[in-house]
Amino acid sequence: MTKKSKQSIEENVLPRKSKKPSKNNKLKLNGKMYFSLLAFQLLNLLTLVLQFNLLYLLFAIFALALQFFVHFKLVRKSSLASPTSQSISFYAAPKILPSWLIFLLAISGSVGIAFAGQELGLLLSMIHLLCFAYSLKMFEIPSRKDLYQLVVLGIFVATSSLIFIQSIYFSLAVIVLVLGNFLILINLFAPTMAMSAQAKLLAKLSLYSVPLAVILFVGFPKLSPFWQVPNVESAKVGLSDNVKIGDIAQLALSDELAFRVSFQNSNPEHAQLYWRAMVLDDFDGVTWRQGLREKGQRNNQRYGSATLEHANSSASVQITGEGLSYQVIAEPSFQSWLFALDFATSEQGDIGQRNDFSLFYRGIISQTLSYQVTSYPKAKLAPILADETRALNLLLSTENNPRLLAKGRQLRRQYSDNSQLINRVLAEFNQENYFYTLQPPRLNNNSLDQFYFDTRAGFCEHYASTFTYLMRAAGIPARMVVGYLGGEFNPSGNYLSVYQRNAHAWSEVWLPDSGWQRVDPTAAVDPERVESGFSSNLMQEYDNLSSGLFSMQPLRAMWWYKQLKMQIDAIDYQWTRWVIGYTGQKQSRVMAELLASLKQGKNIVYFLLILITIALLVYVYKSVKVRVKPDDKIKALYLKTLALMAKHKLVKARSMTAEQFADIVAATRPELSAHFTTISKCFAHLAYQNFDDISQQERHIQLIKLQSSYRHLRWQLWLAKFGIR
Amino acid sequence: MLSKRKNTMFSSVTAGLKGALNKRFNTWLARRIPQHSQQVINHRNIFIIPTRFGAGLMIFMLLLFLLGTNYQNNVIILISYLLVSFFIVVLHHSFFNLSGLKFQATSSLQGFVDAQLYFPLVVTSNKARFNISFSFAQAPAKLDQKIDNSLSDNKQIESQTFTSQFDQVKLIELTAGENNIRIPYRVCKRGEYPLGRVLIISEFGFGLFRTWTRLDFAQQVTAYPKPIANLWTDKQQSVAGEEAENNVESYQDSYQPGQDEFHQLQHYQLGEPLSRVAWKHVARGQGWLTKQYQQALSGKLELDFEHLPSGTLEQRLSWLSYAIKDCSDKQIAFSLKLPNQMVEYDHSSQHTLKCLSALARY
Repeated sequence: MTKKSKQSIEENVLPRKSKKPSKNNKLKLNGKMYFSLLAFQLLNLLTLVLQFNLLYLLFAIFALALQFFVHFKLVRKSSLASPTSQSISFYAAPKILPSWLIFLLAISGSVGIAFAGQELGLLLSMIHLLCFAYSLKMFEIPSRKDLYQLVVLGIFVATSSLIFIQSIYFSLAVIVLVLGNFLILINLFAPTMAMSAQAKLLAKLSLYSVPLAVILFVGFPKLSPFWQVPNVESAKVGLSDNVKIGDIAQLALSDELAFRVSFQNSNPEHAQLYWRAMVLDDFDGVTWRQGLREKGQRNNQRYGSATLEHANSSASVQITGEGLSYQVIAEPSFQSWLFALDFATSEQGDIGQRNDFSLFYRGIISQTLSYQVTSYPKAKLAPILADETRALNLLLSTENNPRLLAKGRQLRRQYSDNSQLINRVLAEFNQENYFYTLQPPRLNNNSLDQFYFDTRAGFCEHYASTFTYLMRAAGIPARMVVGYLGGEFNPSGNYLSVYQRNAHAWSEVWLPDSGWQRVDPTAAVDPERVESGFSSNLMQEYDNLSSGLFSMQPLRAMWWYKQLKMQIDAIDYQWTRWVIGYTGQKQSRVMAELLASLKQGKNIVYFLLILITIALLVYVYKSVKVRVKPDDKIKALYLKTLALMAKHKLVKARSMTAEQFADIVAATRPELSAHFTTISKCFAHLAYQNFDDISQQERHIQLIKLQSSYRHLRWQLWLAKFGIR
Repeated sequence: MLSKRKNTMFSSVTAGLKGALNKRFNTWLARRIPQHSQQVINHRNIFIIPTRFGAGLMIFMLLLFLLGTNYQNNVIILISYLLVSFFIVVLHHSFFNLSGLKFQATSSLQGFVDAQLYFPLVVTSNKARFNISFSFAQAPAKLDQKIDNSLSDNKQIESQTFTSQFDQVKLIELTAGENNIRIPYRVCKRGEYPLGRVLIISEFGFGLFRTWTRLDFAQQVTAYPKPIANLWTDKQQSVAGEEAENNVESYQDSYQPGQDEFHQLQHYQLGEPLSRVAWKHVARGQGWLTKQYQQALSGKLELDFEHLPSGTLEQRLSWLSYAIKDCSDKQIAFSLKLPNQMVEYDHSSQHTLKCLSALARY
């Protein structure tokens, strides 16, 4: 940027009433502007890059590259044409593509997107349409209005990426980008400003706007959706509702976060953290499914609410003991189950509870969802079992696993007592040669028989399936529960992270005197797995399995890496909890707390008020105080001296020059003259000769000298008042 | 600019209504921002309204809020709040871009009707400011393109920058310290009247707000009648009395250089054309003298309003204006006689101004 052409005055005298925009009316921008437009378009589109169809992506890249080369060539040509003149060259955007071609492109693109709509889904096709318009708009910027439209479109594109991703770093990057888009406008209005100054100005204004935004965010009522919007469609993540043996092993390798929990009071033990997601009670010999599935997803609406009141009134659960309150923040899974400890109640209206005590969300969890749960671990589940449920939970498919069936029946004959029978099976798991491994040998046709009698190596799912099957064979109502076990506690954030690798399966048996009882055969095989998560052996195995091209193992082992990861995760958690999970409920709670603390006159409120007052005072002081340059300070000092002298009846008449007045002072009060003359002379020197030859530093030294003279003078005058000389 | 474009489309009724409103607004403005040759703009006299883009952005913020609410997406809602907050901050920023500017008007304007004049103004700023345009709030009159063609050609090299708004001066950057600017002023009607208000507009920041003020610098315009020359060549119009013809002839004669008679030598005065210097006398060392000529015919040239050929008042004044201008250019002394006043025989530049002012005031 050059300083030469800073003040270019424009005096255009042109007829205004031309209807067609004449050549002169065309918006002219400088090269910097075009490049920043292109750069911001690239950045804005980058935020959505994961969602784009390959075809559109290619088009967007091609369009950007084409424009970049055209502008690059133009700028180079103009700089070659006039290498000496450093003025900013403004030029109207060249017609890179003819209008009819842009029109044709627009039509064909829209039609293409409409056709692809089936595949993309409504939301994505709308996003594609938006971005397509954004790409095309860049080709035609005939007036300032179009530039404004381009900027607003860019902001919209960048913002819409937040529908898909809301992690803290991504969100912050998008926020910065959204505000960064305004740089284009600053450049439009102050093209002479240096780029860094523009960025500084924008950063300053953005920072100023943060407090109000935060206040609005905390205080402005959170509204419920006004109308139904097309949802994000994506592949389902995490547990699936039909489990074949071996499925969870895939999950076990995933480092992805499933959900996070923060307990209100104390954290329960690891072995107590059985997060129920869903119950699978329909087994066809190969696959476990949810029972009564035939009626479809819609029957979710059939189930009642998950409130405590509802649970108390229903006969299917007997609540005893104290409740355990916690908040769960579930990551988007694009399914509808929620995760909670037994027996879970939630007061939220959009959460329901199925008959098998699992919670579900009345919708698809397409973005981070936060919900509050109170669990009663001691509650008795289903003291009386409905006949229909009993029948379902005793149903056996007899073809696939005949040996296991025989074994179950034999056990029944052996033990008449249910608990003895269960203990016997668990003891077998524990004492005989069963292994817990993430790499079980392949089973033919998912045969439980083969696993139980031959391979004897598997993970939770194998054990839970086999156990459940055995129970059913022995005539005990049993079902498989899928969910997560445990979680990793983050001490810096005081919360529990549950990852996909914590996925787990266990069994539930119904006993007449205790209702549904959780039995985890895995605990019998590998107690460590239940008590503290993965054992070191399993961890080793896990690392071996998950390491791809380069091993993360050494890195994982380093403590600082773990520490850092935990810190980052803690920040992300707070973001998720307070920003993404800031619901209307939470808002009312926060506001109530704020009001309460205001009433109590808590210190923090006073502290904040004082802080605000100080900030205001500083601001007022700064705005009132006029910045004086060093040479002005000398003048100010002289005026101050004059005022002082006037107090002591030495008044300088307006017509007098400084020198004349100094002479008068010397004549009337010779004792003062030495110091006064110094000040007066310096002032005169400044006023009539300028200090061009004196450096800043010398000037400063001079000022300090004068100040000391002033103090001496004041002292002398003060003494003189009392007649002391 | 937009409102003006619309103005042409609306019927005269709305125009009348608008005129009445404008009048009310102007009287209010006169009370609000009194006229003064030296002005500082601050919160008392700055107006801010959102531009169309600003209004558009507000709608966009609402749209984002709806999007965020419908998706229950707090980050999008946060961005919409951030934009609202940014909008308010920019409002203040736009205000501070104008606030604190000091203006000092130095002189009044004189000129012929339909000529392009420039009103000089000293602007003092304590910091660098951007994108400020100055113009006179004048009604859009039919623009005489002929007059301004040469002018705009000259300026085109200088103003490579955008926008085609006419009659305004736009500072892309106003540096700290004193700045001299010249605001174009088009003289529309003859007379002596107040200059009117200077419209100072800035959209700096982001084009979201239009910060403006209208200042009255208490200056006068003296608009001389437009000089029209074709009277004496157009025979049909000069069917006038004999005296008038004589007068015209005498005038015509007077500016044919060969017919002048040498009259006397006078001491050279600064500003007199060198062609009239009596170089022989200078060479002889007799000092600088100039040759004074006298009209050959009727002696003193008198421009008399009464003796002009018939025409409307304005036409007659325009003819006189041309005559005065011409005489002044050619250094011919003359006297002016109007029905209500008489300007004595002279040829100095002050005399010319006096005569022209008399025409303007008539």
